[in-house]
Amino acid sequence: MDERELTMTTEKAPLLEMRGVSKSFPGVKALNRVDLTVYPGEVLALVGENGAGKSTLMKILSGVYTMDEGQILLDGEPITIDGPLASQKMGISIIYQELNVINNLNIAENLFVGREQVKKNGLVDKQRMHREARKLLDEVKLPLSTHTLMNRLSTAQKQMVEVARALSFNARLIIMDEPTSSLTQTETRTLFDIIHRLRDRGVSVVYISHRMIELFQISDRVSVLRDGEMITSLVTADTTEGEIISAMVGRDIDNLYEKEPADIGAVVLEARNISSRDDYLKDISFSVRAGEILGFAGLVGAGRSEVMRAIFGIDPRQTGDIFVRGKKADIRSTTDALRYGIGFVPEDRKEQALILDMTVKRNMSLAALDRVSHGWFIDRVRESALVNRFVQLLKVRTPSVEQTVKNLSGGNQQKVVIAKWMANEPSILILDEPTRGIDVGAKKEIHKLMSQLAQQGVAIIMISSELPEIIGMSDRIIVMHEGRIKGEFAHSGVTQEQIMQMAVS
Amino acid sequence: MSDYKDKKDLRHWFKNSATASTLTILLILVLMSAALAVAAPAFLRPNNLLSTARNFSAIAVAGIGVSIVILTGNIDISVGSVYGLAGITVGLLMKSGMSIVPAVILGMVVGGVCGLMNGILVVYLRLPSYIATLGMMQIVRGVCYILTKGYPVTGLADSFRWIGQEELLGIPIPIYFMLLFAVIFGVFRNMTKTGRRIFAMGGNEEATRISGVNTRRLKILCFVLAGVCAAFAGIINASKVGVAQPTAGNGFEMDAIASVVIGGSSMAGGVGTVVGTLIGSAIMGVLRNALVLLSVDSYWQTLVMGLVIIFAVTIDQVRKARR
Amino acid sequence: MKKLLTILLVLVLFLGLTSTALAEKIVMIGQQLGNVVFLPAEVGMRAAGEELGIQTEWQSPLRAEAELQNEIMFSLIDRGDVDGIAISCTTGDALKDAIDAAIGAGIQVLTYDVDSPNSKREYYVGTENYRVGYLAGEYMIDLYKDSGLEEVRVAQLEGIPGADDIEARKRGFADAIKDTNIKVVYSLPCNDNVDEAINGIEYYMGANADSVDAWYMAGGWPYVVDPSALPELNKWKLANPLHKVVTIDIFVETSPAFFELGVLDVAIGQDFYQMGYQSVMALHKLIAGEEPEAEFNEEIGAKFIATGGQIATWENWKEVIGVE
Repeated sequence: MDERELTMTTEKAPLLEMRGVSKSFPGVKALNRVDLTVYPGEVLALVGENGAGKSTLMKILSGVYTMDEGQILLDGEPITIDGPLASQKMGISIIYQELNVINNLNIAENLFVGREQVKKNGLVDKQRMHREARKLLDEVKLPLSTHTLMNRLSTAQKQMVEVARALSFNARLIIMDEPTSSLTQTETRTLFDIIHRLRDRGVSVVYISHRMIELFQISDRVSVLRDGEMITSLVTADTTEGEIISAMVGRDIDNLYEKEPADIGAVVLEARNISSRDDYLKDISFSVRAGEILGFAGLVGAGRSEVMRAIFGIDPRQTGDIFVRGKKADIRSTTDALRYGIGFVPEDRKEQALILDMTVKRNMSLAALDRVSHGWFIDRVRESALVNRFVQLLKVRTPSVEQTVKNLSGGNQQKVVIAKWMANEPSILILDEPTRGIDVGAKKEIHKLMSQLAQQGVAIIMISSELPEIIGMSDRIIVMHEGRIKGEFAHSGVTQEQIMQMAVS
Repeated sequence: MSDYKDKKDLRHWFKNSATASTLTILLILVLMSAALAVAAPAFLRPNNLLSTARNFSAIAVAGIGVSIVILTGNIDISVGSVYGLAGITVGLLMKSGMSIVPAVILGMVVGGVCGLMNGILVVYLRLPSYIATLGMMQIVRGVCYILTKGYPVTGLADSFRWIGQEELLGIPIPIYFMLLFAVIFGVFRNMTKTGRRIFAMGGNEEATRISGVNTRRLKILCFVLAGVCAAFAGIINASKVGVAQPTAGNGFEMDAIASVVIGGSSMAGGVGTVVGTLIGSAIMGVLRNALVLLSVDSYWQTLVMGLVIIFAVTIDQVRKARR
Repeated sequence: MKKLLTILLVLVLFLGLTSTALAEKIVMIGQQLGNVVFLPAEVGMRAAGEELGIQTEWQSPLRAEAELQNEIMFSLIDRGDVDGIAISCTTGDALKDAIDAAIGAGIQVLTYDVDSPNSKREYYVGTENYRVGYLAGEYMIDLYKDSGLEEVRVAQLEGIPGADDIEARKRGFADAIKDTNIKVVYSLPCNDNVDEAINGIEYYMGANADSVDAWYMAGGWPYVVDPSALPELNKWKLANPLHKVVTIDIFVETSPAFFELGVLDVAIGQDFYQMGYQSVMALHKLIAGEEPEAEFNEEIGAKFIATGGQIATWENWKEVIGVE
């Protein structure tokens, strides 16, 4: 591990130290011996790709998770954080991306929820509560009445109330998770003002964000996590964007993910000027050919899934056209999409792709019922034949096809979902994070499958947040950022840094 | 890498299979009947058994229809009113000269139309089903009163009584219809594409929609089927008493839904069998019979029915949850 | 020109509205919308209304609940345009306050069919349910006077527990048979529901046909349907001439079929048509400040307008009910 020492702050003793922190979940090691140091009165930016471990690390600090091994020291003394309340009492507060406010209460009530001051007769001392609230709001320079209802505040204002609440707990460390994702430029500036004031008071801020520009504006130091490991901590003033991005993605690309060659044919699907109702997606245009794997890269929230859901008819789209094999396609529902030969493997297999209480067989045949029926009636023999064929082809590990799909492992569940679509012989297959949460062995098998499908002439679109996967498997890569297509790369020679650069700016 | 653990032993089957669920309530029915036979031997008289079966046939037919709606995670509390309207429709049509077969068909069509309206309210206006069907319950009942001005429809031709009162080979006709509906819907649910899609929709509507199924049309179909079944149940009943009353079916929806729930269907959707619904309605029917044979005051009837529902469903939950 | 038309329009509307507002209005309240028994009352009410040239309204709650009737009463008082109300109370005491309030607001109120003895009403129109029950008892005694039976076991059909009218009929019957060999051995409440009544009777008769000699139907629920709906009861009745059935309420459309088959001995009908008609007539007089013709009845505690009834027996039903 590479660490450049800091000249400014080495004199001060660290406020918080995490040493050798590890945390595992079933099947995945989220954090591996991570060290993190936060000095008093500093703004530390914490960066990393999706899945690098940032939120796991912070959840350990805020008491939501317990670590498997490691030590946490506060002011040099080891502490145990056994719950969110304990963490708060020790002066660590966290402001989540999805704000934790109670909308139908007013500001003062929100600030003191759970610890309302009571008078001698047991009733809530509203006057005192509002007085204290007023003081807190003045500290964060929020000129609203303490009687204002939360649901009348803007997101930025709600955030400031959260900051005020953190202060009321005498927070010495405030963690902010993607605080500017829903703020305007002006609001962001206000937030930065507050962060500066906090710093002046000696409060430290851990600032989690992807936005490089902001990091350079607001942070003193940057710590980079990658694949559950702390890679480096740099002084912001002394480093560059390129260096940070390198640290974020600098891993060896092994040949684990390599698409087998396939003949690339004519354009099968073309999207033109797709925009969504709420203006989130703007002017998305792209095309994909038979035999090709088109990868979609970008950060979570860039809009990739939204584009695919619009194309598949799940969400209604506002403007734009879709052309299938050169002809305009009228896709207004998933049934339409199916008719055009499109298949879609969604991101969240449990919520969106599987009927958990039904058997493997019934899940697999669900999209292809017409093919295994005579008229209205399902031909059980044909259904079994179809399902068995795919179980063998995809090597789905299950004792029998009558097994409830809920009991299968993640990898096998995903195979069931893919089999469901393959059974319908689509000419276009969209996969959204196809190997997320799946063990290495199953990943390889799914990649092999994708290659085979491409060889059979299927046009494949793959959304993935795993850069090695995208680079290894895609013939072309489209990068999206905040609802727009930022750029396109051909497979050969593109680096993770290049993609990440486009994804974050 | 942990793979799926093999739990194909008896315990797993017992906890999870639909057959086990059906056997459990069958056991409850048998025990109830045995206890009743001891306490009131008159229960076992063939006349009494057939009479009881004749009565719960209507509940079963309506229950089979409602169970399809419940399978999707929705509910239909308008079945009692549709039951009444169907009887009145057939009665009025026959009074104006129509013969019984077309009248009954039209009565069922009326039920289907009411179901269609329920479906439209739920799917297109996105009303929660209990609110939509609550509203329809009132509206349809109102139509019953308006059409008849409160008077029962009387003086009907003898053919009207055939469905509800006659027997074939010593067995009341309604029982044949109950079995017919059971077979038709059993086949529909378990052997057709649409039936399979309905189960899937009940298990996870979003996933089913994303799998290319037109869930909107399917949901409306479920409500239409429930309406048709409720209508036929109402026609059986009106035929049985020989007149069509505007108040017929008041409170009947509770019986229909109870029979489905006791029969093992989950209110969350995705789980349930036709046989279960039959047994559930048999339990309701035997219970009603028991209360009169044992000279229990009607005042206690509703209390006891409620207790039985809770008891039967709890037993089923215990069976599923025991770890 | 436009101005003139507008003035004319407003004038016409005004006159129209005030005329409806000023027209005399009498409202009758039944016990339940679906209860067949009240239908003739509505017909009688309308007939009287037409005769007198006044407006009549029929209001009945969806369910036979006193609370719902109270709601109707109070909204009628609030409306301000009602001059007279006639009400058949689900439970007399539960309607007391509403009746008194209406009287206090200047509305003329009388009770019909089921009375509210503790209220301020001065008139009652109807047949006095206790009397009717007592009469049924007397008929029962008469039917068995030469039977030679040691004990006559009677099964009784009642409606909603505690409903004043049925309770009065039960009491009347019980008092009439008090010192005789007639006993009520079973009482079946049917919740004012025809299907429940039929199913209950059928189940009971299927099991206990040998332990019952007679049926007393304190309310005519079984008789709104076709006789074929009660096979067990009919079988029992026809099996033995000493099996007797006495019921309250006559339904012109459906009761004859039962008499025809010989499965009904006595039906004591109340004249709901007259109750409707007479109530409107009486209220009309009261509104005009006059006194309707009626004698004070000690037992009822009010001036009693008797509407009488008809009694149809297996012998004379054709004439009494006037069947073609």
